[in-house]
Amino acid sequence: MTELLADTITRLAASVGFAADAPLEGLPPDGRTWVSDYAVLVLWPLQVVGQEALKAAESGIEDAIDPLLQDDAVRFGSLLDIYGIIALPDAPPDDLRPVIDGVHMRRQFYRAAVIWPDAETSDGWAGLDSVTILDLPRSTAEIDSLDPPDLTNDERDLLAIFQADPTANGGTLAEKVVEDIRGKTS
Amino acid sequence: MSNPALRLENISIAGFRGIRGEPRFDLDLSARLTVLVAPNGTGKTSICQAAEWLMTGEVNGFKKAEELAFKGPATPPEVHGVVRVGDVRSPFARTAKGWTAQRGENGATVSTPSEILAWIAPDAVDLDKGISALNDRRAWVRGTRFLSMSDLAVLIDSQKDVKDARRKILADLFGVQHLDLMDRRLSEYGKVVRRECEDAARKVAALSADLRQLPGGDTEGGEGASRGKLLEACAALDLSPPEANDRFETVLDRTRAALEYQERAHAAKDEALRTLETLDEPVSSLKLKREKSSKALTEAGLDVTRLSDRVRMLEGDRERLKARIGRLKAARDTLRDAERNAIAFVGTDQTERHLREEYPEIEWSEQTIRNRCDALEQFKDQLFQHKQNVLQHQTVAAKLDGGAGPSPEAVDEARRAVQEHEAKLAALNEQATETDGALTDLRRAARHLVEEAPEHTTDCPLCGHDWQGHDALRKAVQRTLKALPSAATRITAQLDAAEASLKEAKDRVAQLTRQQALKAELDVLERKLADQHDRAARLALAEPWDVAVSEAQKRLKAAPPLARLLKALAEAEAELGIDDASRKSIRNRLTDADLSSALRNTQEDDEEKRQDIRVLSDELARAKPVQNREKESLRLLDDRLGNARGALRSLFGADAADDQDLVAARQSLEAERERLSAARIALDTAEAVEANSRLAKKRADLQAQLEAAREELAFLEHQRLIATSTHEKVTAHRKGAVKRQMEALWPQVNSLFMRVHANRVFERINYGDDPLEWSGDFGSHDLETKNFSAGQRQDLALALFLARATSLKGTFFLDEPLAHLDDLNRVAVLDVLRMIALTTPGLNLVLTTASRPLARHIREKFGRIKVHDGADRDALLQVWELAGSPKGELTKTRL
Repeated sequence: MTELLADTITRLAASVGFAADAPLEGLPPDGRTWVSDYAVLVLWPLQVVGQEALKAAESGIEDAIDPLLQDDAVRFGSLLDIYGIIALPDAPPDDLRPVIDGVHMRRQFYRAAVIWPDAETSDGWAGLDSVTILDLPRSTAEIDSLDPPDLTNDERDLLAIFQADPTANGGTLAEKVVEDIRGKTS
Repeated sequence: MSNPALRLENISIAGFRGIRGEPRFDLDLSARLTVLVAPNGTGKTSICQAAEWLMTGEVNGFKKAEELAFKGPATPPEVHGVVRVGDVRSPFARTAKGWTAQRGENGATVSTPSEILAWIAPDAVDLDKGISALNDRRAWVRGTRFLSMSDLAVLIDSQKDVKDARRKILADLFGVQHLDLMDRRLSEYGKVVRRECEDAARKVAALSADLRQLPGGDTEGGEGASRGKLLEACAALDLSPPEANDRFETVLDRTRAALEYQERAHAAKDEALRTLETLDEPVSSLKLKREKSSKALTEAGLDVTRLSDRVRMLEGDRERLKARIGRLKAARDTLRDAERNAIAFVGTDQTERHLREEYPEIEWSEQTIRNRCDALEQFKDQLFQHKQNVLQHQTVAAKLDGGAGPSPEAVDEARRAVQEHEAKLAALNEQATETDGALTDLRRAARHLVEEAPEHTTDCPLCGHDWQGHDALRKAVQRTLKALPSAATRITAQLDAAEASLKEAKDRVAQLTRQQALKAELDVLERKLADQHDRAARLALAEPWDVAVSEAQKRLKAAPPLARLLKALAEAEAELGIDDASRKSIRNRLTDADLSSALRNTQEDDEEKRQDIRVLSDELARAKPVQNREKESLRLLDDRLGNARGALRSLFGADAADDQDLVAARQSLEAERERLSAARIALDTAEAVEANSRLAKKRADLQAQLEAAREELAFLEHQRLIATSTHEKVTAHRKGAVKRQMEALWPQVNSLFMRVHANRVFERINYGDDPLEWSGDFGSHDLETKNFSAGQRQDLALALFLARATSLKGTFFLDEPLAHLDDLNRVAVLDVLRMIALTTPGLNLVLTTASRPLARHIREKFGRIKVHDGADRDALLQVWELAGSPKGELTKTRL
């Protein structure tokens, strides 16, 4: 599962300049790291769903990136953007949601996202498409209203009446049509 | 075919909104993200509006180009830029004169808005080409390229009253404005056609009901039969036959009127004949009875008239007697009253003439007497003051000691003496002051000489005289000092004498002034005393005045009753026929007893007259019923005679005789009745035949109307079906187009929303069958957008716009889109913008902000991106800081 997730992340990260790198020291064995000019992305998979495991992952990422931050500050005079993704093995229970929300709201050292498997999503992971550093799912939406609806001759004739008088609204045109009918029948 | 990506590579603005005409403001917009940072009011929005003007030909909310002109030195607004339409680079220009675009850098110029818009947004309109296509295309370009936060805020709004506005914004955003417009027109059309169908159906139902209720008509016989019967009726009524072209109704009405007239005449004759037939006596007998009754009435009337005249005469006598009784009673009462008030004062021994001579006040009017009484009363009131004035006059005269008071000349003389003494004293005072100063100087000089001057001094320190030796000088000084006291004493004595003379002169003036005042007071008192004497003389009062006033008041009090007494005596004597009694003493003239006796006699006469009247009235009461009976009898006979004669004249004409044949008259009337009855039957038959004929015609007309209405209804029903089916197809087409685009966009919208919505209140955003019905997935609940916070709504609007932009490509303007974001969301949005810039070539975002820290943050976000293969970093991001204001030049600085 982690490999599939890593492949998905690799695909979404590549288009924004990331490449897979050696995992940072301190990550779990199935942890991953991606690096770009301007940011580092860390994946921290969890084996269990729980508050303690979440907190441990949150501080584990912080420890892992600490040397990187110090080194980066010395070399560039500015900090890298760092993103951590904590992957749960299952969907979290409701009582864990506040803790997850707290992780999402963190703003020290790195931004974090908590994701978990979800078959209803396009990439199979709930929350993955909200990781701000990754590419978007691409849309092919175009204006496809060019082809007119399939109309009968009478229906097309009706539209022709509209086209013949661009200034009138539907009600006015209808009254005109009715007048014509009365003219013919009287 | 689809709309080409529309990019604005650069823009050059002059004289537009808040941007001056000179120098022009040029901006390169080729970077994937261009950020314009400046304080509010600098011109960020003006730049966005200039781009809108260049790319759509108009600016939303501004009707005329003049409204867009710079409000300063007059320069016509002008915007130029290079627009890339698909792969073609084209110079665009928008000025107050018009809008032009070149198809490629060397291509033909397009200069009508409809052509330009058809070129840059060909697929924004399809079904109604030529019908408001220009507006629809313009709305599409504006709706997709320019993020108006206010529009998008409305799009996410859930209030019902903004639904139309939301629908329009969504239609612009997804390019279905033309379908939306057609949808609305078809809806309006369908409503009217449906209403007309309902009206036509009601008309058919009403005509059918009318037809069912119409009785069956028979056209047999027709107009010829009805006319024949009408002619028959005219003949029976002895009327001339109608002309061939006379209308049936007119002839019918005329004939019926003639029939009714003749029937009424027949009824009158029948009534007259019945009257004659019911009489129990012939007319001649009635006439004899009437003559007899008339004679009896005349005799009764003569009796009544005679008795009435006699009664009226007696009543006239009584009226006169009553008047005399009244006058006598009044004279007696007046005499009694006058005697009580007047006789006691003047006695009864005097004659009237003597009284009038003695008391002239008798002749005075009441007003004169009242005025004299008032004057006496006033005079009496003044008597006390007069006595006081006399006493005061005596006192003042004693003070003056009989003198006439000082003359004005003497007073003036004394005053001049005072002025002279005052001048003299002033001169002495001045002289004494000067002498006192000289003496002081002299003492000081002498002291100086004695105590301080050197021994060889020989000159006088005051006058400088050289005494030829110091001793001589000292002696002279000692002499002078010795003479000083006597000189001062002399001056003091002169001053005392002058002051004493001045005091004496002032006392004299005061004395003369007092005497003058006393004399004036004496003159006033003398005038008052003289006035009092004048008033006494006018009132003919002799002294002592208090006694005279009392006497005069008594006379005035007695005068009116005396006058009334004399008048009452004269009137009573005149009533009784007594000649001139004015020479007799009052005692010997008419007495109360005389008057009472005369009154009694008159009352007795009156009583006699009253008895006579009563007797005559009884006789009159007996005569009047006789007369009334005769009158009633005569009236009855007259009535009967009148009726009989009227009936005879009705039957036989004005010259009818009293003995006409009533049997023959009855036979004639019967024949006439039969003729009229035949005429009525013919007339009714003619009318019935005619009505039947008309009913049949009406039925045929109704049938024809019903057929026409059914035909119209069928046609309208057909139109309604077409309208409904067309509307349904266009609606489905519109909804399908929106839904397909929503489905394609929604993963991006959701992803973007979740990224900029950091605290993840919602797991995702969903939409329903209606593209405007959105909801947020809140755990196990779906919350409608009305439950969203304002920030969440704007997050969603921003996500929607960015998703649309990434799918369409080209240049997009976002005016202040990040102002609503909290810190965490702002960082997320910057990540998103960086991600879009990195991953979406062909997309150019132009973003404005008033926050310099935010602009710096954006720059930092892009700062570490390495540029490879000679690529230009500027192609990714350009941050421009704008400065200036509409009052000055707009400048830009690269951050």
